[in-house]
Amino acid sequence: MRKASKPSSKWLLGLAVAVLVLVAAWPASRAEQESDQCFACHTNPARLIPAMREVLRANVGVPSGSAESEGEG
Amino acid sequence: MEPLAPHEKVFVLPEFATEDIHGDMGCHECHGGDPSDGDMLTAHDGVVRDPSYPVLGSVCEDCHPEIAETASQSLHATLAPYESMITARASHDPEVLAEVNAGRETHCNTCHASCGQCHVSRPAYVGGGLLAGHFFEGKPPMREVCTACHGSRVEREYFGKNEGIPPDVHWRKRFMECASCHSGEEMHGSAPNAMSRYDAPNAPTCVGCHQDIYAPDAANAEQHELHRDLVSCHVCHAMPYKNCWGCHFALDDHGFPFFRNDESYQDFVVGLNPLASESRPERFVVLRHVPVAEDSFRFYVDGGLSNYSALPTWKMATPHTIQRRTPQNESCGNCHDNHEWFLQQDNVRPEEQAANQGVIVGQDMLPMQGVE
Repeated sequence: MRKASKPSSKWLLGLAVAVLVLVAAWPASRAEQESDQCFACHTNPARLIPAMREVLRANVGVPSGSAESEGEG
Repeated sequence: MEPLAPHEKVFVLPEFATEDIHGDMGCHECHGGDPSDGDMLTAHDGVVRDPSYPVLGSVCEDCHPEIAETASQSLHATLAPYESMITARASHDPEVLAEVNAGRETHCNTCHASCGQCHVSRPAYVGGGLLAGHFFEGKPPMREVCTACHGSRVEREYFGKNEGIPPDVHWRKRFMECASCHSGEEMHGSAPNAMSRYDAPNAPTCVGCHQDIYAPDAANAEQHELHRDLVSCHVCHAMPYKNCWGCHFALDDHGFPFFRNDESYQDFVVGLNPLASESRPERFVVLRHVPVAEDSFRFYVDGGLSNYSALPTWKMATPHTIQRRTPQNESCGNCHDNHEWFLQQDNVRPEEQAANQGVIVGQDMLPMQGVE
């Protein structure tokens, strides 16, 4: 039975570089690709909180449902 | 359930894009809107909060065709028993029935569920809000989804929140969650013309887990065998539960729907089985009063439920107040000599006598007294 030969350090280095290149080139998910819009805002509280405040300010005084329900539903 | 701040409701975990397979899709593919629009407000024009409703499963069926097909006909989606029960009690006049249906759609049918409102967000009925940063939850979290809607009865009963009633033994001793008994097959099961929730396929049964309860060497084997097919498990093992009366509904000055219940209280009532069948042969079952009233639809139309007596107002119940030991099973006499627990002619309200003749226990049917 032949003994498996040890991989050379050059081969290992080549493999590592190939993996790095592959990871870097791998397409981001489509949700991430929309990062300048939906994704960047909805994943970032620093942007999301003021944006929601703006929406809420625009809706001040607009009722979102009845306050007249009584009893258990 | 902790309320969510507005931004928490729509916060998406960055990992969603890389760790959840649904993150492979662009946001707008399901939710619409215009991701190329730089203005936040106009970019959201046409955005759909829950893409899986009202056409249930419409965005899910490409990848989950079998579940989407049956789930769209499930009780959580169609609320079929509401339509069946209300139509059975409603006037046969087409114009009146149309008004009743409009009321049912506006009020009763707002409690629907959808794929997204179980697996992605809290139900819209309780204000929505993503469950876990838009990750899809295979098993919906009990408190944020199931008991968020099933709160006034199931949650309060199961967790022992009603004064004097301990938590259900399945929670108290085993911390069993809703999904421990109520499987995905039940939740997604198709039941398009169901008259009652007990028509849902794959619904749990007590003997499904307690398979040896009728074995000769089971605990209390003699009692279980004696009462087998005569009384449901709940008759001996349930504690009092919520009963509601007089639900009326209308639209407020802004056009938003609201409801008012006249009365609700804890009670324990045994009556004749209105759903007797081969699979539910028991003569006696636990009954819960449903909140329908003869004039529930009065905001929409007079005489809407002109066939009010077509169905009992005391319906079969399987409350989540199970205990091994209850006042009923402490001794033979506790039940056999205590007829107050039974629904009899003189403890049914006069206006509901006709509706409930099929579930009222006649004097000749009450359990024999003096049994030891």
